[in-house]
Amino acid sequence: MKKVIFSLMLLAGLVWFFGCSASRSSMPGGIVTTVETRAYWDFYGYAPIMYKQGESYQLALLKAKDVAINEAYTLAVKTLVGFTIEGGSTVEDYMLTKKISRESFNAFVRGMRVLEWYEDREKLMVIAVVRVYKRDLENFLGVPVVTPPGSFKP
Amino acid sequence: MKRWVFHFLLSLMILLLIGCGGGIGSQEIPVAKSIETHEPAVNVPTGIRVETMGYGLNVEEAEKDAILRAIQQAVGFAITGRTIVANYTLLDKSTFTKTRGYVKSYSILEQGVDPSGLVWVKIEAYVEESVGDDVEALIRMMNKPRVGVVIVERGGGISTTAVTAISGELNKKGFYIVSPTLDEIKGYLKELMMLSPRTLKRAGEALKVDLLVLGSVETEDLGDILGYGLNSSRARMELKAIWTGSANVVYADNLENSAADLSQDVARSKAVKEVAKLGARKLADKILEDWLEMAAGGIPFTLKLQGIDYELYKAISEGLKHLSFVKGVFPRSFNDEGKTGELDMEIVAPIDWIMERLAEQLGFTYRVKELMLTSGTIEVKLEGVSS
Repeated sequence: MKKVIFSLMLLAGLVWFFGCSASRSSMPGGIVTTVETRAYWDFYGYAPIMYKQGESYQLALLKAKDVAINEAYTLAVKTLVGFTIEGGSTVEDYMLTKKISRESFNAFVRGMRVLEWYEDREKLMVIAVVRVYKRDLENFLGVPVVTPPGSFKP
Repeated sequence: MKRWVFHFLLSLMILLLIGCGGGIGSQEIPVAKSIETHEPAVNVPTGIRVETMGYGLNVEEAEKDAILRAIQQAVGFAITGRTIVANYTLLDKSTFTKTRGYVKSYSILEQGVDPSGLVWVKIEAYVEESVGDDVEALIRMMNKPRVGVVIVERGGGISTTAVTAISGELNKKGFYIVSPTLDEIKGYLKELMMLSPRTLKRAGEALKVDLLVLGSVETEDLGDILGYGLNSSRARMELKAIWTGSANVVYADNLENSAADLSQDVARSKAVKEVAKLGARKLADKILEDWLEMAAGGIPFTLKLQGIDYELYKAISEGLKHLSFVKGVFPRSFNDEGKTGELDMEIVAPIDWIMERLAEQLGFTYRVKELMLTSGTIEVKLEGVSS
């Protein structure tokens, strides 16, 4: 009788251990993601601080901040909404004579939040992070978004 | 012994259930904090509530930056851009963003200075996409622009159907409507759609209106084009709205609409009514938009002064320049014989309010003889002028 009880307890313990821990590590689709990156996207924008001696560093910093935010917006729109590209190349006698590409995008977006921006004094640049929540984007577009979530850098 | 084992196993199973249940629950993705919408409550502004940070060289700039971000985030913005690369050389890279929204209210939650010396503010703003009801309420509170509606038919008479339809729409938005009679406008009928700035100003003064909605309408009978035994008519309307003071065209459009009815006359009238309503709705939005911009940037106002000498004319024009609700003062004319003078101004507050302060400052008394939104005649009493 004691053996039976012991076996039952062991079995229950094993079920508990594996059952609970398995659900913590598996994610649908097999993509290795964290809980956070499934819910939003982060887009990074970079901009140089165009500072000349004798001018206001703060002003240069503010301008760079706006450029970096714009860059992050651009990356977000190009990633989530898409963009058009046209171009081509001309090759004559095995020599590339011309190559041109024109990229353009045009969209109306909502729900993009400037999460943070900071300056890198060593590289003299500003880095801005724009966050787009999946739920906000799906609400705005009215359709499910298929772009895999995560962090995007140019 | 058996009972003890049973109880032990039961407790174990319960523990197992609770333990695993908690684990699964913690796996749920936390609901992403979305753009928070605010439930309307007493004394609490409505609209989309957003919290944003702004940066600048001073608090005012930082505030503006934060407000812009709030509108971009909550209302949205248009972004367009292009990058051209030729032969591995970047030729052009440009982006352009544009947003437009209405801030119902905002307050600074926190502010400070970051290590770089930039001023930052954190604001809580209630924003909306369109100005909507608030502007209508604002117009009701402010000096309302008087709008004259003149729509003529091809034959030369006034189209009462069109005038009624347009007046109705504008009335709803809080404008004062004036519908001049044919006699009152017969001097302008010939060139109604092409009035010169001078004639417009004269017409505005004569009709006592700040804005003129001018239009011409013509109808065309189409007969039974649908084949259901109904008579159809098409109405075409040329519509314009112009500020009489500045001759600024607020709106200009050509509109068209058709209608059908058993009677050709009714079909004609329906078509005119529909095309007028269509135009009025577009027109009302444009006037509101322009009105808001004008209210913020300064409404053009012509001040006619009577009973003044040149010294006082100069003192008044100089004094007005230093009043905070006067955006600009442009001396126009002075007549020493008639003791009259005219000043063009850009104002953001009612003129009587401005005059009160000026009279206090310069120590004169005055009497308002005529007052409209964009012009006014004021008689100044010289006796009280302080040296």
